Amino acid sequence: MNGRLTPRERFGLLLIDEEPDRVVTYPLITSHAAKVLGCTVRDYCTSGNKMAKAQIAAWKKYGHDALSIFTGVGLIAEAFGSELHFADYDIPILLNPCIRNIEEIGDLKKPDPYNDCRLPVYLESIDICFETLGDILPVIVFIPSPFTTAGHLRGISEFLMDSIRHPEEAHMILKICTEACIDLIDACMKLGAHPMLVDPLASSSVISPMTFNKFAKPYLRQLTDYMHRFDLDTMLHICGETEEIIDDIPCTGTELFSFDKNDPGQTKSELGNNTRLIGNISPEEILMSDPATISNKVRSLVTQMKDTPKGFIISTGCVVPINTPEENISAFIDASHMHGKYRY
Amino acid sequence: MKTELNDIVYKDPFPARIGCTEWHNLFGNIPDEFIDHYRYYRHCGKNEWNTYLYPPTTFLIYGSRYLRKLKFDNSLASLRLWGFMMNESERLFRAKQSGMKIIANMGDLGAIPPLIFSFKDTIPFYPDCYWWTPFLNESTVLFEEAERLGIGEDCCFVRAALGAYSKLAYFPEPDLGIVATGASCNDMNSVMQSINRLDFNMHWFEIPHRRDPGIYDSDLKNNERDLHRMDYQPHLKTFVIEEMHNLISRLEEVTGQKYEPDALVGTIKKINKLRGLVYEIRDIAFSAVLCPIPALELMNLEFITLSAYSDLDEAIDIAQHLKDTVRERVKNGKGISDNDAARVIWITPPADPILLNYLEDLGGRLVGTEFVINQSLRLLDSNPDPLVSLSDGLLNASLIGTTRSRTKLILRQIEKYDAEGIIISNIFASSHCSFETTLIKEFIRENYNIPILSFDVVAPGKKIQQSQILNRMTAFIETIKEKKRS
Ligand code: SF4
Repeated sequence: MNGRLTPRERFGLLLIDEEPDRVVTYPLITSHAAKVLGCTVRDYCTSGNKMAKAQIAAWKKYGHDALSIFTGVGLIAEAFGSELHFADYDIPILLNPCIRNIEEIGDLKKPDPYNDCRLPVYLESIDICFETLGDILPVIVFIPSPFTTAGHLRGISEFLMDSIRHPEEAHMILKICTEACIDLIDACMKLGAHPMLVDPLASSSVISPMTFNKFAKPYLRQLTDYMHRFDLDTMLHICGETEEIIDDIPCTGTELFSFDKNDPGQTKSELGNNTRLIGNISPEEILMSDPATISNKVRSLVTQMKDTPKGFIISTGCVVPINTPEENISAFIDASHMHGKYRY
Repeated sequence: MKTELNDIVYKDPFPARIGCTEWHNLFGNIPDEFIDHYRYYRHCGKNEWNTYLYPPTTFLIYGSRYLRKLKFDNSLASLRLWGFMMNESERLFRAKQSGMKIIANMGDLGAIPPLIFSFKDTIPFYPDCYWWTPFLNESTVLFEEAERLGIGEDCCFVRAALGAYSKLAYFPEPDLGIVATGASCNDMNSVMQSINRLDFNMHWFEIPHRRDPGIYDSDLKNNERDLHRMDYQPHLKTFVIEEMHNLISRLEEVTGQKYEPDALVGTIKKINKLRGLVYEIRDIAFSAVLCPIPALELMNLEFITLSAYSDLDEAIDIAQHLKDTVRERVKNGKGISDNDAARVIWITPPADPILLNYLEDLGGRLVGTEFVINQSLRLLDSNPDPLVSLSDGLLNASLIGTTRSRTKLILRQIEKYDAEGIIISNIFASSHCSFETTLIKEFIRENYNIPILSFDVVAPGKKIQQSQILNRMTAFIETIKEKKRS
C-alpha cells in the first residue's frame, strides 16, 4: 500500500477483515460540533442544515474518520409525543414522557420519519453530509434503541417499574419502539447513512443483566437482524458499565461494539476475537484534562488495542462533551494517528 | 418471471426501471432464502461473507453514492447482477483471505482470463474496470492518487486503476499483474508503466498490431452470424501463442502449479457457456419489439465476459437467470422501452453510467454496442490446442487493429438490428477517441445514412457539462423519432 487512504477506504477495509494503514480514529463528536461552528446546541438539534454544517466544520477542524449524526437519545420518543427540554448550550433532555399511565399504550402512534417532529431534521442533516463529504467519510447516524426510547416514552424509572410490574405492557411498548426504530433506520439508510444503535439505558449502570436480557437484547437483535438483511455491519454503543453483560453482547448480533467504562484489555480478550471494538477514552478525561495527558492516554490505549483480532477503532467512551477544549480533541486525533499506524 | 428455490417462489413485478429507494422497498419482498442461496465462491462453503444479493442501498452506504441517482431494472436476476458486480472488491479480498491467487489483467487482454481460471484457485480480475469507481462513488480520490503519481487529466479515466493499485483499498495486492504492451493504447500504457514503477509483480504481454488482410467490406452480410469476428494475418497467431507460453511459465511460477491443457479446455467450455449466454441475451434484447432489459444492465452484463467479475461459475448462473428473465419478458410481450423507442447503437462504454439511463429516459433503447471488448465477446473455437483458440480470441480485440476493422463490428450490428442512430461517447483525454471518432463516423456514413451523435463523457461532478450532454441526447433522440414519424 503506497497511497494514503481516505477515512471511507480505511473503514471499508476494517469491515472486510483487512488491516488498514492505521487505526480508525473516531471520537464521538456530536453536539460539540455546534461549538465548533459557533451555533447554539438548540439550533444544532433543531436544524438539519446547522447540524450538517457543524459536523462538516468539526471534521475540517479535527480530521476524524467519520461524521456522527446525533442530538440525543430522546429523538424517537419525542416523535411519539414525549416532550423534551431544549437549552442553548446543553443536549435535549426528557421533560414530559408521553405515556402517563400504562393504559395509554394503545394510543401510541408510530412516527413517520419523513414528517414527524425532528426526525426530518436528522434526515436533512444526513443528506447534506452525505452529499458534501460522503465520498471520503462514512456518515454514521445514531439510532436510539428500543429500550432507551421506551424509557423516554414512559419516564425512565416508570419504565423500569413497568418491566417488573407490567412486563407484558413493557413488551408492547418495546415492540412499537422497535418498529419506529426500523422505520428511522430505513429512512437513514436510503440516504446513505450507516446506523449505530445507541442504548444508554441498557447499560449495567442502569439495569440488571436480567432486565437487559429480557427487555433490551431481544429488540436490539431485531434491529441488527433487520440491518443484516442488507449486509450491513451493525454497530452498538452502550455507555457506562457493560462488563456484566459482556457475554451477551454477541447475542445482540452486533459486529462492532462501542464500550465506555469497561477495562479495554479485558474487553479485548472477551470479545475481540469476534467483535470489532470501539472505545474508550473517557469523556470526562477529554473534557477536563490537558493535551499531554490525552496524548498519553490515547497512545497507551491504541498500543494496547490495535492488535484486537477483529479490529479496533479508537474512540471516546461516550459523546465528546460540548465544552471540550478543542486542543484536547486535536491531541486525541494526533496521538491516534501517530501511534495507531499499522504500516509505513 | 418466477424464480423458484426449493418450494419458495419469488415473482418479479411488471418490468420497470426503478430507483434506489424503490429497490430498497422491493427488497423487503425477496425471501431470505434467496439472499442466503446466492453466493460467490461456493467452493468455500457457506460463510457469513459470501452472499451478494443486496439492493443498491447497501452499496450506497458503503460509498457508491451515485447509485441513489441511477435507475435499475426491477428483476431479481438484474439485482443479482448488480450485487455480484458491486461486491467484486470485497470478493477479491475474500479470495486472498481464503488462500486463492489473484491475477490482474490490464489492457486489451480480455482473452487471458480463461487461461488464469484454468489454474486451480486462481482468480483473474480487471483493474481497468475501476474507471467506473470515481463515477459510482462520485469521488475524485482515485484520480487524485493517480495525479500524485504523475498521471493527470491528460490521461483517460482508466487512470483510476493506478490510484486503486496504489491504495490497495479496492483490491488486495495482486499476485501478478499481466499488462499489455505493443498494440495497446497510450493511456493504458502510461498507467501500466506507472504501476510497474510501484514495484508490483508484473508480466508484460506483447500484443501485435492487427493488420487488415484486405477483405474488408466483402463479408458484411456473410458474417451476420459471427458478429464479433475480425480478420487478421495468420502468422500473428504464432506470435501470440509464443507470448502465451511465456505467460504460462510466469503463471506456473506464481501459482506453483503446472499448466494443464485439459483444464484449459474445460475452462474454455465454461467461458463459452458464459459468452454464449451473453450473446443470446443481447440478441434477444436487441431484436425484441419491446426492449426487455435496460441499457445499463446490458453494459454490466457485457463486461461480465472480461473476467466473469472474478467468479466464473456464479457469473454463468447469473447470466442464465438473466436470459430466462429476458426470454420470459419477450414471450409475454413485456419490456422496459416504448414501442417506438429510438434504436441506438452505443460506441465506447460510457464511464458515467447515468448516460445509459438517459437513453431510456429520453425514449431510446439499445440495439448494439461496441464497448472495446470484442475480444471477450466472441465464442472461442474448439481447436485441439486451447492456446490456439485463446490466441485467436485475443486477435479479435476491438482496439488492436485499424479503425475500419472496429467499424466493421458496428456496421454488422446496424444491419442486423436495424439501428436508427449511433451514439459515440468519447472518453475525455483518451488517446484513440480524438482521431477515431471522426473516422468511425466517416466509415459508417459510407454505408448508412444514419444520425450519429458524439460527445465527451465528463468527469464526475461536472454537473453543467453533464447537463449539456443530456440536452444533446434529448435533441438526438427527438431527431430520430421525428425521422421515424415522417
Ligand atoms: S483510452 Fe480507451 S482503450 Fe485506452 S484505456 Fe482508455 S478506454 Fe481503454
